[in-house]
Amino acid sequence: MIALSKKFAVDLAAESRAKPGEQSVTTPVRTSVDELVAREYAAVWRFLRRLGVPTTEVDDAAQRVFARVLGQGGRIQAGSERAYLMRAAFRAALEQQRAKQRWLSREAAIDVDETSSSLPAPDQTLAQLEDLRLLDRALAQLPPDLRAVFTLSELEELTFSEIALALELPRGTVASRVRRAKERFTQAVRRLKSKGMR
Amino acid sequence: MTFDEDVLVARLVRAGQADGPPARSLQTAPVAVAALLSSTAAHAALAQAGGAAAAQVGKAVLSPLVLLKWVAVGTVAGSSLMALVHAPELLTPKVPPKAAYAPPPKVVPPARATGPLETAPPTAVVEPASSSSVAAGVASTPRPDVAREVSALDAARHALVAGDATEALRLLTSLERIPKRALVPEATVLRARALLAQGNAAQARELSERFCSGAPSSPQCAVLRTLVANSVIQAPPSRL
Repeated sequence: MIALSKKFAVDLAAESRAKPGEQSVTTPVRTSVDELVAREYAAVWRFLRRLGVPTTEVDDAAQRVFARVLGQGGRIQAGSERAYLMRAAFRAALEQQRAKQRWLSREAAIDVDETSSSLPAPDQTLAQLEDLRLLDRALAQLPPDLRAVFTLSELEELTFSEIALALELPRGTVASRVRRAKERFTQAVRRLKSKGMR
Repeated sequence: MTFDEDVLVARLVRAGQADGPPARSLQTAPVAVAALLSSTAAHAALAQAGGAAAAQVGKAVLSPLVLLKWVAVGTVAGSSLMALVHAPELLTPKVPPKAAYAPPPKVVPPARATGPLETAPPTAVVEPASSSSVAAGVASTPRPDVAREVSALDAARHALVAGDATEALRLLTSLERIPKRALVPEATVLRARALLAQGNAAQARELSERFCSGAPSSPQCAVLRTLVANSVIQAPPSRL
């Protein structure tokens, strides 16, 4: 259970990963907000970027996602923190899309300065930026639900159960959407390549 | 799908997996999230407290929290504000509402970056309360200097987020004049962050070990160990 305490400690039930809907066994373990942010921030950040959130807004968006999840004080099963964070991130992106009509409908702009710090070597930077650009362009051609499913499945390597929890879908639906998302993504890459993008 | 397409898709996936936030984002994110949480929690506490006095405190303290996330109080402020709200002594007219934002006293920083209070045995560690106990009101003992502590910690946190670790350390040192401090653990974590931001990992580690020797099971000890152990977090920002 996550409960906002006086010092923003997070109570997490110490249990193995539970399936969606299952009750958690509550052996409270204190995990600080700092620890959760340190552990999951990069994943949430990446997910929001792949959903098309611009580099200038992605930090604010990610921070709001954490605040929203931690501030709810609701039950979060231990081991499922990332799925709940991804759920909040996807909702935030959809809300933003409705408000601005632009996040998920456009590709994420790649800012060299913003991404360079996470890239391994100078000689690989340009090639990886090109790959990221192509990745985001291909993802932009997918509808939001397939875009999210593909990102969570292929990039973040979440299990079907975790994706089901994150996107509030039955596991069977997740499996079929993952398959469809892969096909659509490959088609999009093929189209982009045929148009001359490397 | 051809072999070439397979290879290309796999390469794109790897590029997506390798992407990530810059070190600066990783370093400031916990502070920013805590600030957002503190404003949310303080709002909830005020809503429960109600009354004119609470409204006064809210007017004086909460508006800046909401409006200025990066200038906000962070982890400690929210908890302390809840304590303020629930402490009857602090809600009486004897304490002016603006006391929470009184500037910390200017003092000359000591030669050593780690001050005695942060490194003292953490007997003043306030055990984290559950959300229900926070909601019910936890401040059974009046702490008249909590407002000063919150103010100084706010300023230090702001300085750290702005990239001025030296100023943050100076402000934390100024805290040491306050007797019977309630927020020593929070100040210790902030001091460790400032030391790490300066690239002074050795002192941060020493501070962490000293604190954890007195309170090994405290949440702050876990945070300190994570900070010291995590090379990504402890790395100074690449760009400021």
